[in-house]
Amino acid sequence: MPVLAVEGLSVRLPGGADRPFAVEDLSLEVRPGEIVCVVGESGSGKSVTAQAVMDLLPPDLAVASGSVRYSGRELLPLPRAERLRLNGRDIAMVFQEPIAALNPFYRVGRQVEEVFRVHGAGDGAERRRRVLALFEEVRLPDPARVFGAYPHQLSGGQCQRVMIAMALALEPKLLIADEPTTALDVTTQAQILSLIRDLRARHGAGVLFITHDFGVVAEIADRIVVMQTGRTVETGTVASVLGDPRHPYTRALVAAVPRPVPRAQRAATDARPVLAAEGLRKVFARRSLFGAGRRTTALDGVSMTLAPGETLGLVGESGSGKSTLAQSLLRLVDVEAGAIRLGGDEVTRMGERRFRPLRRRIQIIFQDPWASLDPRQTAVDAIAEGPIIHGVPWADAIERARRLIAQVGLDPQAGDRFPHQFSGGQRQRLCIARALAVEPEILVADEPVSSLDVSVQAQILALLDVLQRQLGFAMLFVTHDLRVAARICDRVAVMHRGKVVEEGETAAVFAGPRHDYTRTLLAAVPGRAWFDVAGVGAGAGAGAGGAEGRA
Amino acid sequence: MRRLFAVPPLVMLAMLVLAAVVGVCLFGDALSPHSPTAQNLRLRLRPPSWLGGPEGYLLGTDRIGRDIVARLVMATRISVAVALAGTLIGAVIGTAIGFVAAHLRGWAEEAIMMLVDVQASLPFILIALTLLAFFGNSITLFVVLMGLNGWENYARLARGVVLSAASQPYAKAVKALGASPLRLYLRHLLPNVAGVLIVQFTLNFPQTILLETGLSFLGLGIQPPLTSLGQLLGEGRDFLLNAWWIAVFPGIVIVLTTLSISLIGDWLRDVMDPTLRDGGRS
Amino acid sequence: MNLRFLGMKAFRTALTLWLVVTFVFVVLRTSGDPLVSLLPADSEPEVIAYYRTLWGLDRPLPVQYLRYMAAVFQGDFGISLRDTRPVIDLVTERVPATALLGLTALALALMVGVPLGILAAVRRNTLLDRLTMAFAVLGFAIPNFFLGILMILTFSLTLRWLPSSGTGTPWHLIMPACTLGLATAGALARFTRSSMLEVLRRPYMRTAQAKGVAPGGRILRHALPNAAIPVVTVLGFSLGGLIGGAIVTETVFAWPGVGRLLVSAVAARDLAVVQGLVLLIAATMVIANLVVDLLYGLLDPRIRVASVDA
Repeated sequence: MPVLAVEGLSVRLPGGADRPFAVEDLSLEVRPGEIVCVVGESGSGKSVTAQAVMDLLPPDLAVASGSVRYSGRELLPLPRAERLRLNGRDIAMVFQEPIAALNPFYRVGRQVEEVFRVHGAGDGAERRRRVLALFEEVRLPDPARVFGAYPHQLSGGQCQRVMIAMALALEPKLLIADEPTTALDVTTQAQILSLIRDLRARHGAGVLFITHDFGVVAEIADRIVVMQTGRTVETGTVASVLGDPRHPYTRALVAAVPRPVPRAQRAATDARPVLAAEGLRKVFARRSLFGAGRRTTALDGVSMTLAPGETLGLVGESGSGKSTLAQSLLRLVDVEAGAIRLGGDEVTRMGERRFRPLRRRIQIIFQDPWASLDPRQTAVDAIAEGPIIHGVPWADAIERARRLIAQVGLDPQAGDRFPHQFSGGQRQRLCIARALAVEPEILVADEPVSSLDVSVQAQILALLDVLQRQLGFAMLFVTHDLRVAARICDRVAVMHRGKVVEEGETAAVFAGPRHDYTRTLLAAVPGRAWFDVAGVGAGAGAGAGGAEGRA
Repeated sequence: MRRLFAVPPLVMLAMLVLAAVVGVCLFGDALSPHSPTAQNLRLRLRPPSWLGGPEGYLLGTDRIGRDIVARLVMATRISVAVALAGTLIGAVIGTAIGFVAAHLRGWAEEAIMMLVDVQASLPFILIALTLLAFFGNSITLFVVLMGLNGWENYARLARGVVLSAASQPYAKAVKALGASPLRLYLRHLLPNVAGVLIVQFTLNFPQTILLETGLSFLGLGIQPPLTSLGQLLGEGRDFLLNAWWIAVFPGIVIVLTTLSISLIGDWLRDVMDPTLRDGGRS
Repeated sequence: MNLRFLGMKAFRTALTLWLVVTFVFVVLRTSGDPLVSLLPADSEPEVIAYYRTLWGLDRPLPVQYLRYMAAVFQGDFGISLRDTRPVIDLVTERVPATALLGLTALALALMVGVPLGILAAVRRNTLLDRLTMAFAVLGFAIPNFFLGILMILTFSLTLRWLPSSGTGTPWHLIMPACTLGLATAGALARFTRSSMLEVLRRPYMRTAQAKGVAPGGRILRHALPNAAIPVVTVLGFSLGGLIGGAIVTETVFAWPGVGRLLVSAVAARDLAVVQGLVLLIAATMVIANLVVDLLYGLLDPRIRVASVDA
């Protein structure tokens, strides 16, 4: 008998939403010891499904119809108090933001202990012993110390282990994991995924695993449910769905997943670099009247060069200093030591007034397309602003802006709209247009696709590729995702704790990483085995969900 | 913007009340045939005309037979004018200080923000009373004092919003385009922070009215022959037993004014709060 | 506790005190001759000579400043113009009345405001929530002198239930305490509500539900401690509001406290009393704020326990 059987589940959205149901006519099964992945992009209803099973729906969502059976027992008609008794004991859940999911007011040991207390298991000493054993099992270092720690004293990965320990406390038959690794670095993600696999094997619980990442799916799933705007579009085993997707949406999604397979090498140029940095150093110190304050070395003697027209990938995990490097090259962050040469000009300590005309040559796009445009400026005005600053007559600048809007794949008529009237992917297109409007030689792209859905991600990467070929700018591409770097970069530089630990042609680095950290990073790329088996080349990634492009 | 027109009924009412107060300030002379200073010793402490008082004195008379309606019009004008001038002074000074702090950063910023904290931790009425006691009362000093009230709120707010707006990617992108700081501040940051400052203005205005009327009530603010709502109330306090109307009507005017502005300010804050907005994700 | 936090707060307290004393000194020196300002006109020549030496008025300004500070920190604020007694004596005999009134009002505000705020947040968008918010706005908009007068008019002059002024019995305390406490109760209700709403939508509240914690336990054990932390910080501001309000309220109800003394001293330009009172009230406020800050630091584990870099 399955531990979880959902049949024909529909969850109604409040009036005024873009569709009547968050989840519509959904059916799925999780058997003991099985990991079922629910995959979908944002807004597909995958998290709502999990919340419906645990009676955690926000107050404005309600189950409209269907059935949810746990070990054969129908849950939906049960009174809330009865369902609450199942939570934590029979069904447990792990969430996306591990630090925020723990109560900052209590020590984490007590929070795990609370599961026993709420469900009336064991006495004080017994409970403590069991919590420590759980911490041991989820491989937390020094369980006794962790027991007495507050969430803010632990890292994200450690907090997620605590959450998993909490979920396993009463040996539930069903574990729901809602994007449990999305907020974590890739190496931590790999550890958590292997932990969940081990625990499944040892406890025999069924796992409902929710994710947007096909790499993660390939790592962990036994069976897959693909969702799109509240409906199931395809279900099946990993091999069948990933290997031979039948539904067009699934096919497009799978095709859009960036492969960790290096792109074809382009002819290297011997031309003088358009940008070079040498020995850059930056220390962030929280200055304070008392005590020295905490000092973080973001850049510790970093050097790099960028040749005309090439793409250099800057790869690293959070806190590696890659974004600081990107911003320091545009002088948005001032470095303490080192030299930056923009073309022939040494700009490191140039006065801002003198540097301003040179800014035209190097432009930037950011991760968050929602915050990257002035909310009170129309698309055309935003794009025309750069040329106007650099002396292009107003009418010509507007003309150029409209042309660019078309060039980045948007409807030129949409130029008079304000940023909030565009979707995330469209906004990122506008940001690209704004950066290219001043005809830069260098485009710095700081995690430009990290907050976008995978299908949109593929489109933006393709767009950047096309534009680079047309306009010939060099690109510094900052990303935490090796798969994305592989798709778009000629060379990659791997950053770790403020240093570049390895640099080389993408293919060479992927084929034979020399530094330990690079090897760890590559090994942690989710879904590596699948990509290797599938043996797909550098995917063209032509538009999945083609509606995104048009305004 | 669409939401601006979905005004809740209570806020609509508050707007009407506020419009009425403004109307009284502008055209109040038409409300009473009497001059606010005309005494009539034969008609002292008379109740409102609809409670058996003399004809033509809609809200009764005070201890020397002046018409309460005419007194109220005069007092409302002065109270609103003083509070408006004070709030404007505070808004301009505080905002400027906040912008300067955000622009300079470093030690200057820390010093300014410490001063803000010090000011916020002391009740302003103490400072006002000290200055009034030592320098004696004058209308100029009094208006300046009203202006100093609440500057720290603007300074804190202006600094905060400028810092957060300047750290937004769009501000960095505009800087990277080669825009001058002046262009960045005037074209991009000011329009995006103006709303917050306007809301603060509507929240500060009632506080200034309360401070002015409070001091005037104590006899330490606006002095005769001028009058303010608080001073009228203070005068009426001695006649509560047999002429309650002298104190109660000015009080009602104060409450209606502060209440309506507070309601409008709260509503504006909710409308502009990005966490309450739908975020415009189409 | 986190040493940096402690040091920061202690430094700020000292800085505030110093700024207040300096402010009063500057006012004193720029507004006229301190001997005329702070001593009765008919003072004995010996008394005048004593204070001239004590404050160092025959010495350069920086010396005067230091002498003044020294005198102030020893509690010597000069002599009252009106009854020729040392200011410190006049003030200390008024403190208990104000403390009684202020603390009663604070207790009242806490007992009414905090539970109302919690209930309003938990029962969001219900009638109770709306009434609480209306109460909060009204508490803010009604000046306490008008509220006091309305209460006197209703409960003393019309119904004859309560005495309109003076002190002595608990009955005397009811109206002044309610008048003074209302605005604070409203502000606390409003702040507790928004703090609670903020906490209720945090992910850890969902975790608690996923663990199977019952609704009451979620509110009391998981939401309340976190929501209370910011509420403690506004207590400091509430104290400022209470003291400011006491100045007016005491006058309305002829309550023989510090506030009424201050108002009458300002009106009579009894400047020695004014500067003494202002300094003492400011010092009380600053120290109360320090206590509140330390309480805050004790409550919040993120401040109490420094984070360690993993």
